[in-house]
Amino acid sequence: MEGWSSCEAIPMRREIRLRTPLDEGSVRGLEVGDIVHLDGRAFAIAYAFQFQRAIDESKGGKPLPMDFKGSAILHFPTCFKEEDGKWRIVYFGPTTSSKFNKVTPEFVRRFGIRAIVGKGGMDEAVMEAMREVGCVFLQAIGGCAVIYTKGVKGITNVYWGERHWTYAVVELELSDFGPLIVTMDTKGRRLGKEERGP
Amino acid sequence: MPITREILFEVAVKLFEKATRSVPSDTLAALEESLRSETNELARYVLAMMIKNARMAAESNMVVCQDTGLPAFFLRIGTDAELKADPRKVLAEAVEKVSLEFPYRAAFVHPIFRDSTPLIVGGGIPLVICDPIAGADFVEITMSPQASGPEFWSRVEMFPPSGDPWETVKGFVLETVKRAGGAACPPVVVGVGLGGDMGEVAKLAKLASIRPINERNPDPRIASMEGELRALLNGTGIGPMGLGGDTTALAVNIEVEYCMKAWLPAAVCLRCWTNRRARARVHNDGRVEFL
Repeated sequence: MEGWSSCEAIPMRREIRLRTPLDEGSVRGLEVGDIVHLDGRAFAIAYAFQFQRAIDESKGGKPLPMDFKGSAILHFPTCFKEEDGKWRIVYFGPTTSSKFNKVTPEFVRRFGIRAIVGKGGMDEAVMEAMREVGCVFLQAIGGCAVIYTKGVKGITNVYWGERHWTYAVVELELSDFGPLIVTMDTKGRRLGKEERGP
Repeated sequence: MPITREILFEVAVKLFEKATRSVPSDTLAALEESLRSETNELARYVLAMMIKNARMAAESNMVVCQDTGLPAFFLRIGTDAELKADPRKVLAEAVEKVSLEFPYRAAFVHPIFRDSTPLIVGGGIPLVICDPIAGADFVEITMSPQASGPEFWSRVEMFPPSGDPWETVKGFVLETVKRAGGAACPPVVVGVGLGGDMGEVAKLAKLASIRPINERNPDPRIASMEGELRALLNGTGIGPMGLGGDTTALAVNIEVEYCMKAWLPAAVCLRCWTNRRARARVHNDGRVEFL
């Protein structure tokens, strides 16, 4: 079917483990079809207005409470709770990434994002920003909350949850978080089709 | 002994937990079958992860998917059932209890005002759909979370009856599944409603979508159309999560009612690979059967 690329064309599949902050060289070395596991710091953001808020506050010269540089951004709605003064993850998993197409090119460029983890890929404007900055799109498998939640060592901070806790930006420490499939690489190659919707 | 508030509440809690924390056995079997027949290497990898996640969820009492969905209860109430409770109220209490205890992050907003403090129940949530069953002395409850992705791409359409109606329906179903692509989290279960009126056709598609996936329509002509559509969808190459492969639809279930001569009402309800639902029958004598 036209528009659907086939992974039969990919000669090999490599399994790669990477630690954040991700360096540009390792990210540029990734190719579509590679399977990645992540360790280290990442941010779960699942609402477009939170990306916009980060962009707007940074443009206005306001120092942000978090440091996105070189990090992985997860389009993962996150369920967490507070226990004995500590944040604990209950579960999380990927949501459709194209909801954030509009805010992502500027976000990737401004904060030097190296990896976006989500579902369904993103548009050509995002691809262009990724090629320029050195950032990949990593596809998580939808509906696999147990597998991905196991890859979280802990929640280190929660930001911007004033509106309602479900909208918060969550900073996490990952450990062997995956599998994630590279579906957009820094050479402009893509696996699957870019989709729209929730 | 009537069906009391306490029994109904207890069953609803169990159904909501089961529906959100496991993949139904028919669906798990269909995923395993697909894993055996799939020829695409990456698709097999993705299917294997889905099966692994489903097993891990059931073993660890964890939610299968981060999207615990819009809770919907489908009730079939026997005309001889002695139901001594307000199902809307009791089912909402059960949803609230499970959602707060775990907790679940699902919270619902007004379609226009997009409230800053979303609701867990109320404002029509959970959905409760009731139908009578003549002569039965039980209440059958199907709980099914309606997930964000697949539901977003579901469609209702009123076609004119001109041309070949079956070709119209085939085109509509194919286009709907292609439009959704990976965003519906395929392999999908496709519920198709045909006939009735605008409201009825949507309900038929919804009921078709929660039917056991190996149960074919009793009309052999429609049953063969279900098979034809499934083969057509599996030929699109969309594959698991839209990454390519032979496995795009685990099942196509069609439900049909007659309609006005001037119409061809059609609806397509997509469900993601987790196809989450749980069903039980509560009898007048207090017996509960989980189906």
